[in-house]
Amino acid sequence: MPTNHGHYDAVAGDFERVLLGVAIDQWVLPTPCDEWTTRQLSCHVIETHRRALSMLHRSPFHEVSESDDVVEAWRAVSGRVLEARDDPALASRLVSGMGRDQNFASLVEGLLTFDTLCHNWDLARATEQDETLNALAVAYAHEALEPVSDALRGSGNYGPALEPAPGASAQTRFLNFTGRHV
Amino acid sequence: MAQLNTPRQTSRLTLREYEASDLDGLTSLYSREDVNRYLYSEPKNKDQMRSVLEAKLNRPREIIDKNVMPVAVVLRDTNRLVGDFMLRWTADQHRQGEIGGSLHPDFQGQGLAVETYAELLEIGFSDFNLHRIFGRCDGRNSASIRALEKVGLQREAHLIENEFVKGEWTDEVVLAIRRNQWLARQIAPQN
Repeated sequence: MPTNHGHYDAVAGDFERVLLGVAIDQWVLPTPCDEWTTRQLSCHVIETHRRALSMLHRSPFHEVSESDDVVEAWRAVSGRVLEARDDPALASRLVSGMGRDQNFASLVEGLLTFDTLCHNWDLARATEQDETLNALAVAYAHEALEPVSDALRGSGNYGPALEPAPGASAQTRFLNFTGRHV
Repeated sequence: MAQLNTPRQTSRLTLREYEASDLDGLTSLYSREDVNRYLYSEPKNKDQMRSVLEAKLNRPREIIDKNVMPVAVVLRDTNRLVGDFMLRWTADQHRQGEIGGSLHPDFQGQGLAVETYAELLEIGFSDFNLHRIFGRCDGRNSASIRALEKVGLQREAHLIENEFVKGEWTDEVVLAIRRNQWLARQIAPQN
């Protein structure tokens, strides 16, 4: 049977590229996610991945420490996620605590993809890098998330949706949907 | 792989394979006029249901493509068969699935169809790695349409008088959910 890993690989690769483009003095800049600096936002993405892995392996969760190199921490954690997802025994293992109980592969294909994709744009915007997201991943995420719009906002994941300007691109429409000003 | 060798438990229900002892339960379901109203079938007596059950019990175990998994839905508290559901799928590159079924009218209105469909989606997307799962209902069967909508299927088509069933032209509503939409529901449960 054919398999489908969705868009995680591409989205994770793009996130690494934008992390590599953050200059040394840019780690304290504000981001479109008001409460986070660029470093804090990056740590959030890394820690979401670490949390998923700790639930998968039933191992302790560790926050990213002050002394950790963000890029290295990202490479390590996304590498471990890919490894686990590509291991059939781990991919099919049920993970609890991040939304509904679901197998690890679904968590990667869903939550980790959606979360990393959105924050990729935040980081690019905050550090004045190329903001172009993977168009297929944008379409995939927008189509997936639109039907659960109310629940997403109810759980505090997204702010109120914004009305896209006439003629806005697909990416802008998606970001507006997630409550982001573009 | 594609079997219910291990029964699946939901909060109130057990979804399992059919057993020879299900004849009375199936007859109680399909002997009713109201259960057959929006199906192609007519009410059946116990003798007629025996061959239906035998077909379910004796289906080939190893058919991969376009398989149908009959699902006996049992209320766990009372061990009563309350529904006859199915998941049909194709294992080709299209990775499409179909869900459907009938719930005994005495047990309708309690969310049991929704509970069953949610588990069938879980099996289809999680275990069988399907890309899209659809349901088809008679256009008048608003209860079934509503149950499918509650688990996230969206109306894709309303076919007008596409079939001639039991002496009249009938409509068919097609609803579906794609894999990414189901994944999003795992993050933000709707029900």
